[in-house]
Parts: sequence; structure tokens; C-alpha cells
Amino acid sequence: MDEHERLKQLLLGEELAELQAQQRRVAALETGAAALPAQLPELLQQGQRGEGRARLAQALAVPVADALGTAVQQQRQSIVDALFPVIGPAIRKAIAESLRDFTDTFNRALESSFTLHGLRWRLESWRTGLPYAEVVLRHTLRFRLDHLFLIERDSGLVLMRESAADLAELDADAIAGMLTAIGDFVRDSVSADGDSTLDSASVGEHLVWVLQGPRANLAAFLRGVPPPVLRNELRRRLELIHAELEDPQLALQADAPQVAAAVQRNLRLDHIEASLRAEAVQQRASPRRWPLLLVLLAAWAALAWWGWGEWQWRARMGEAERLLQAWPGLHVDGIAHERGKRLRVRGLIDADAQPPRAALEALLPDGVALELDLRGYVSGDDAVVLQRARRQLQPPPTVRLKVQSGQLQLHGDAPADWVGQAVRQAGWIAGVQRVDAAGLRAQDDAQAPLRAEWDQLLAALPQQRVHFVRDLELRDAEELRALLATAARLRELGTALHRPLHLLCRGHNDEPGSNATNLDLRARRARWLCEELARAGFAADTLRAAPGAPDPNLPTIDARAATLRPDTAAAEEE
Amino acid sequence: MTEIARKVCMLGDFGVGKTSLVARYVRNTFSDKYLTTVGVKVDSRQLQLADGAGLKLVIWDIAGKSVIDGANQSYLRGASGLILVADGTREASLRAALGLLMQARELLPDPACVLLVNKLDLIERWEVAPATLAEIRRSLPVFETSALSGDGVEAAFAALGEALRP
Ligand SMILES: Nc1nc2c(ncn2[C@@H]2O[C@H](COP(=O)(O)OP(=O)(O)OP(=O)(O)O)[C@@H](O)[C@H]2O)c(=O)[nH]1
Ligand SMILES: [Mg+2]
Repeated sequence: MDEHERLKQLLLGEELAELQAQQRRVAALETGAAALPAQLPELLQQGQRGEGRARLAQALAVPVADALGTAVQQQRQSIVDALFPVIGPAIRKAIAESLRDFTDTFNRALESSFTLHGLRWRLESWRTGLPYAEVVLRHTLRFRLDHLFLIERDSGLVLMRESAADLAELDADAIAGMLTAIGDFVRDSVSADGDSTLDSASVGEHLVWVLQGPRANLAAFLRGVPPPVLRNELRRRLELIHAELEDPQLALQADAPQVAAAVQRNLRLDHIEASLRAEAVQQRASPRRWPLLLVLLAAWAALAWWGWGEWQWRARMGEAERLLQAWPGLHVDGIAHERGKRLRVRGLIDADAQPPRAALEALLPDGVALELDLRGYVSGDDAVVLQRARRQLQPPPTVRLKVQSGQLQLHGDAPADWVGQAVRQAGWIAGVQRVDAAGLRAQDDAQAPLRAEWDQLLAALPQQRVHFVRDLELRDAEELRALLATAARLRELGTALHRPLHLLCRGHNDEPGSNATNLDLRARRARWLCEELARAGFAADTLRAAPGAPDPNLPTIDARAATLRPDTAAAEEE
Repeated sequence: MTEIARKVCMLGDFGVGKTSLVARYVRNTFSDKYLTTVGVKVDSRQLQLADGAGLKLVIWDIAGKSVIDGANQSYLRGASGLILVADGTREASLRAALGLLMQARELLPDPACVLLVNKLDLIERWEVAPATLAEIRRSLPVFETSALSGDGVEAAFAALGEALRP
């Protein structure tokens, strides 16, 4: 340091000589004590032997604690620097641990309320075929890491740098220097306690993050909106670098290539992005798959529910249509329906057909309006024809009716008169084309003798005469009584057999006398008989009087008579 | 592995031409306008050493002051070289430069130093006596420079670069 001394001499001259004299005096005083520091380590080692160790520890406990306290007060930075690689991870771990619980519950709350973002990203993932995590990253990692400078803390020199490809070259050293200078300036002049440092600066879309380390700082040049996890990741990497970096300047010299490689590895931009991605995937992908499943499940269930309803409705409608098509006496023109609301049937219906409303209503779910728009017509359906035949023929319970392809079959036992009537009537029923009455048997019933008696009495009736001696003078009153009895019996039988009885009263006479006189007499005799019958209780409208024709074959005396016969003309009229 | 870089600080009283010297050295430009430096301005230039090796000088142009205070002190941290600048037309600026050197040596372990006495183009107005410079040269490399003409600038920086060789 000769030139140094000369320089001082030049500037300070006498003061320096004075100072040197004082220094010599002090030096002389200190020589005695000077030997002590040299011997101190040796002495301390000796003191530790045997029991001395405990005593030494005891003796030093208080001063060491005090010294530590003082050091923390006065040289906090160096202690913080020394502990930096240890404390950082420990604190972050503890914080992360406690945050994880919080995030988990928070995430769960978030997931249960499907955010629009989440759904949109899932849709995008589904559409593009990219994994969901990838899509999330695309949207959340909307930033670009342009440069990373590892800057020596003191000199502001760039120790190592990583830059994204395709960027213009820049004077990293000058930038790093300025950044350091600004950091120093901020710390010295802006922050009151000297502890705060420049963390980030932004210019337009460009953003600079500065992460402080004890020996080196990490400056990240970014664009966009970086996620907060990026800062954590960079900090973690800065700590890893510090673990490698004893003396930053030395470490990066040519003699320690593996250190440089390790440092460089921690700065690789692609590695950093990969770690972020891994973290994001871990955070997002695995626990967030179930909401999608739930959405899909819900959608599927809704679809299934709707499909099931639709299917059921269609099945019902199919059933209703089949029912209506097969419904006898009903011709369906159209069916319209609105699911769950209404069913409308348009068509024709025979008067004898069953109304289909009840059957349809049984088929439809509640609340469905049934509208039947049916107009009348005559149906040729066998079932309806059968119904019509039943209504018109009124068969007794022993007779079975059947209609097949327009042919009416009658089968069973029935009163003969019904049988006769039915066979006559059947051919006239609308829709009946042929009548098969082979299976119909006339019954031998209690009325058969009545019918026989009726037939017999009716046949014999004209022969039963009431004779007159002359004019209206009866030959034998007994004859009148007998005829009235016969008539009364016939009336009785007619009632029992449901056969109406109409009687024709006739008068007869022999030839003597003028024609006119004879005719008048015959008329009078006929009227007389009607009157007699009316007197016996016959209804006047069932009686008719008519003069009979002269009967030349009879003996004269027998010709003077009145007779009775069934009035076929009146019966026909009825 | 990045190239070797060294931090160098420009020290000197205000207006002596520190910024002008850096501009001349880094960009080979000069302006007679005087814009005093606020805080610090960092520039860099790659330097070819005599033996062919490369060295990068990262030059911190610090605001001119005759003493080192708190702010300047932190700018000096980590510097391996000092460029002391004095204005030949102001004798006081030379004393300030030497004072600054003394102070800097307390802060930095063993910096390489050069002294630039600037504004050589105004030599007729120089107050600094050649004898004084000769005396100083015994302990420190001294260059007479002109940022205006560029005289001595390259040589001064090159000499410092050699002193900083790894
Ligand atoms: N003639 C002449 N003028 C110079 C020279 N160098 C600097 N100047 C002028 O001196 C003035 C101050 O120059 P600067 O380079 O700004 O000085 P500085 O040391 O940076 O000043 P501060 O930043 O205030 O500390 C400017 O007007 C310059 O043009 C030189 O070599 N010759
Ligand atoms: Mg300046």
C-alpha cells in the first residue's frame, strides 16, 4: 500500500504524522493483549475437555445468548441472509399446509356452484379434445415469461440469464444494473426502515418482478397476468439456487461447471412453466372431475326422464289408437295429441256402438283432456250389427245371437211365435246380409196347447151358427150363449198368446124376399151379433159387422143365422 | 456460462464529464448540453483485452458529488473498478476525486482505479499543474482525456480493463 500512503501524505500531511504517532502509542499498549486472540481458540478447546465442557457451556450460555440477541438487533441482515435458504422453505411449507385446508373447503364450495367459467372451460375441453387441466391453464396462465436474470445482489451484475426465444437482444447487464440501482435507491430513500425492497415494477404490459435473495436476486420480465403461484415457484427456485451458490461470482467461473449447470437448470423457462402446469393440474384436474360427471349425470337423468315420459306417452297413444281402430261401430278419421295435455279424436260413430270415452279415460293419465268429435253413421261392424239385432229382435235369454261377416246366426230355444217373428224380421236389420236360423228351435212350451186350442177354435168359429126362426128371433138361445162363450175363450187365449183378436160379425138368410130386404136383414143380423158381443164385454174397435153372402147350399131354415169369424183385414191393418 | 463482467463506477464531482465520457466510450457520442445525472445510469460495453480475452464493463455513472453519502455508498457495492474523474479546469474537482477515492477504498476491498483528468481540449484553461499530476501518477494511473474529442478515453478504459483481468 505504498502509493496509498503517499497519496495520503500528499493530501493530509501533518495530520497523518500526528495520527501515526498516536497509532504507535496505541500499538505499544496493545502488544500485551495482542497475544490473547491468537491463543483463544486453543484455550477454548482445552477448556472443553472432560468436565470442562459443561462448565464452558454454562459459562458461555448467557454471553452467547446475549451476543445472538445483539447480532439480531444490529446485524439482522446477515443472520437473515444466513438463515434464508432454511427459513424460506420452512415458512412456506407451514403456510401452504394451513392454506391447503382452507383452499380445499373453498374449492369444494366453489365446485358445488358451477361457475360459468368452469362450465365454459369444460365445454371447450370437450370440444377441442384437450384435457380440462390444459384448457384451464390456457386461460389462467395468460402470461409470458420473457427473461429471467439472476443478478448478483451487490454488484448488480448478471450472473446467469434465460430468455425466451424470438426476442430482441437487450443489454442485460445495463438493465440488471439499473434494476439494482433502482432497488438500492428505493430501499435507501423510500422505505423508512430500509427493509422494504423493490418487488415489482410495471411499464405498460411489461412487468418486472424482483425476488430478493441474500446473495443474488432474481428478476423476471413478464407480460400478461401471471398467477401468484409463479412468484412462489420463482422464490422456490431462487432458494434452490442459493443452496448451490456459496460465492456467486466464484461459482460461475469456469472452475465450477456443475454448479453453473445446476443454477441454469433452475432458471429454465420451460421447467418453470412445467412446474406451474403440474401444480395447476394437481390443484384443478383431480378434484374437479366430479362436477362434470354430476352435470353429465343430471343431463342424462333429465334426458332419460324426458325420454321415458315421451316413450310412455307414445305407448299410451299407440294403445289408444289401437283401441279406437278396433272399437266396433267407430270410424276414426284422425287422432291428434299434445303430450300430457289433450287427446282429440275425430270420426264417426254408430248409434248402437259403445261410447269409447270411458275406455279412453281409463287409458289416459290424469289431467289429460279428452275431446271426442264424433258424428253418427250406420256401421257395418259385426259387433254393432249384433248390438242392433239384439235391440230389434229382443231375444229371450235362451237365444244366442252372433254376427260374422254380415251373417246373423240365431241359436237356441225360443217360443215358437218369437221364432217366427224373428226369422221374418231378421233380414231387415241394417247390416245383416244373410240370416242363419238353422240353430233356432221352436220351444214346446206351456203355451202350445193354448195355441192349438186357439187355432182349433178359430178354425171352427165360422161353423158355429146362431140360428133365427125369423127376423131376429132366436131359434135356440143356447146357441148364442155357446158362441159368446167361444168368443170369450178366444179372447182369453189371444191375451195369453199375445195375439190380437178381431172379429167379423156376419148375417145370413135364405132367398125369399126381395134382394134389398135380404141384404138389410143380413146386415141387421150382423149388427145384432156385434151388439151382443159388445154387450158381453168386447171392445167395439175389435168388432166389425158385415152382411154375409147368400149361401145356396144350405137348407133354408139353417140359412137364417149369424156367424163370427176372425177379421183378417183388421188384423192385417194392425 | 456467461461472459466475464465487471462492475465499474464513475466517481467525481458534478459537471466533470462522467456522463460525457461514458457516452463517448459506449456510444461514441458527445453533447455539449449539460444534463446533470440524477441517481445513477448504468451502461455496458464489451472490451477486448490485450491477450484477446473478452471482458464486459458494466459502467455505473453515478451522480456527481464531492463526498460519498448513503445513496452513493450502496451504488458502489460490488464494484471491482473505479473511474475517478476530475475536470482539469477545476483544481477542486481533482481534490474531490482523490477524496472520493479515499472514501471508496474504505468501502471496497481492493478496487482497481484509474484517474481521468477530463476536458483536455480546454488545456489552456487548466488549473491542475502538471507537477501535481506527476505526483499522483506515482500511486495511480492518470489519463488526460477529452470526452469532446475522444482523446485518451479508449486508453483509460482499456487500462482499467487490463487491471480487472480475471
Ligand atoms: N469542452 C469539453 N466539455 C466537456 C467535456 N466533457 C464534458 N463536457 C461538458 O461538461 C458538461 C458536464 O458534463 P457531464 O458529462 O454531464 O458531467 P457529469 O460529470 O456527468 O455531471 P453530473 O452528472 O452532474 O455529475 C457538459 O456541458 C459537457 O458538454 C470535455 O471533454 N470537453
Ligand atoms: Mg452525469
